[in-house]
Amino acid sequence: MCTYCSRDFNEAKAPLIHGIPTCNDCYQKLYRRPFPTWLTIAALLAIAFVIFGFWYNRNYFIAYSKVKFAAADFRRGDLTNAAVSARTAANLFPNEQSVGILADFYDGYLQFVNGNSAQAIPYFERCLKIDPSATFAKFLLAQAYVGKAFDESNYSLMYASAQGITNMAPVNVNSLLTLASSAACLYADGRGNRYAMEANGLIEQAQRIGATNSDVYADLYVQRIKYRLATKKIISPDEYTRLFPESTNRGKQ
Amino acid sequence: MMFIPGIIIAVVTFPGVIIHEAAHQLFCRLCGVAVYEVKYFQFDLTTQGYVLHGGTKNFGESFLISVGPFLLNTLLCFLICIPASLPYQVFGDRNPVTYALLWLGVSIGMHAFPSTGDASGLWEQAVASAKKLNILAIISFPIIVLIFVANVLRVIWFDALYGFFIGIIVPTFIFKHL
Repeated sequence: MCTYCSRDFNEAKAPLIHGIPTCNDCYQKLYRRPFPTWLTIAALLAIAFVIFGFWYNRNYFIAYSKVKFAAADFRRGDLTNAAVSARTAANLFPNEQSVGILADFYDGYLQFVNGNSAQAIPYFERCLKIDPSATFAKFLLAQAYVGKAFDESNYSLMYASAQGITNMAPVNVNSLLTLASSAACLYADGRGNRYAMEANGLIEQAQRIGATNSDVYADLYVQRIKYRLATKKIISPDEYTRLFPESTNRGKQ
Repeated sequence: MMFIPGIIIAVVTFPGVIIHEAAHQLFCRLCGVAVYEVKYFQFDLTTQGYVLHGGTKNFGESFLISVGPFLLNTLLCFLICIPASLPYQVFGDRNPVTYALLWLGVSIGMHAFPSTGDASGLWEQAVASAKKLNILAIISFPIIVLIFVANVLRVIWFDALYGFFIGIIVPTFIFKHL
């Protein structure tokens, strides 16, 4: 007799599985025991829920990939695409500050390197409002103020702002050349020879620091400041590029 | 350290218990081992689920049937938590769908480790097979010891930590390094 279904084998011996008499039907049930229907349905519901979860949270994945793409573009120097990707991510989550600050930073940086200092300022200010300790944003904001003052021909304000940058980073080629540029503007504006001397001194100081890491960008900046000192002409970076087409230095004053 | 009776943890994380037993059953089926009885979940202070199965032909089958839940529960925990881990960990999202996915995934991950009963049975078979110089049996000793240790560490919520690690930390780490 089968132990499981009590099927009677009469005189014949029931097959033994591990010493237990078992009929063929029960043997099949034991070795290919089906999963209960409720478990199959629950598993299908769980799969559906996971798929729904992906759909429901899809914006997080899109935003995250955009932020990743933006960082990769930024590393490659493609600021335009970096700004577009970061802004797309920020628009998906308008209340997410960590993405918003990134989008503002890239947008501000893009405006800044394109010579639109005044437009860059609000972006950097928003960054610093969220994260006051963002040193690079602070530095760029100060640079943007210098650029804005230059665009408005307010050379005294430009010089004061550049002094602020030098205080922030006293042994930085960029900050020294920004102050040199401001001093050269004051000299060209007829404020006295001491500004020309100061500009030359700052250039020498920057070159001493920069000698160890040759920077073409800084070299072009130096050439423009020297042109300003030599001619007493204050021209925009675009005009300078037109006069000297080999120069590709943009965004500097 | 907060002590919560195992039955309460099992009730709260019941999907993990069910998947654990279903994994034993699945691996029995894959190995061609008879399954006499399955209890996917029960309100019992000591055993919340079990699978009664027949003998195995070799140590490899015993090993697979015993550690099957570890493999399946770990994999499911990871897969279920993927849609929730990025929003939760990176963006700090706290929506109900994310929480539900994390509960489901971590519950399953928490019950990944084979029980001490599973480990004891496996230990006996490993000893017998190791005497016949079965390589897998010899290699499995430290694994079985780890299973015992993991069970002991349940009192300090090691099972929950493992669930969080597989469900939240691992997917986040992968996303960050993609």
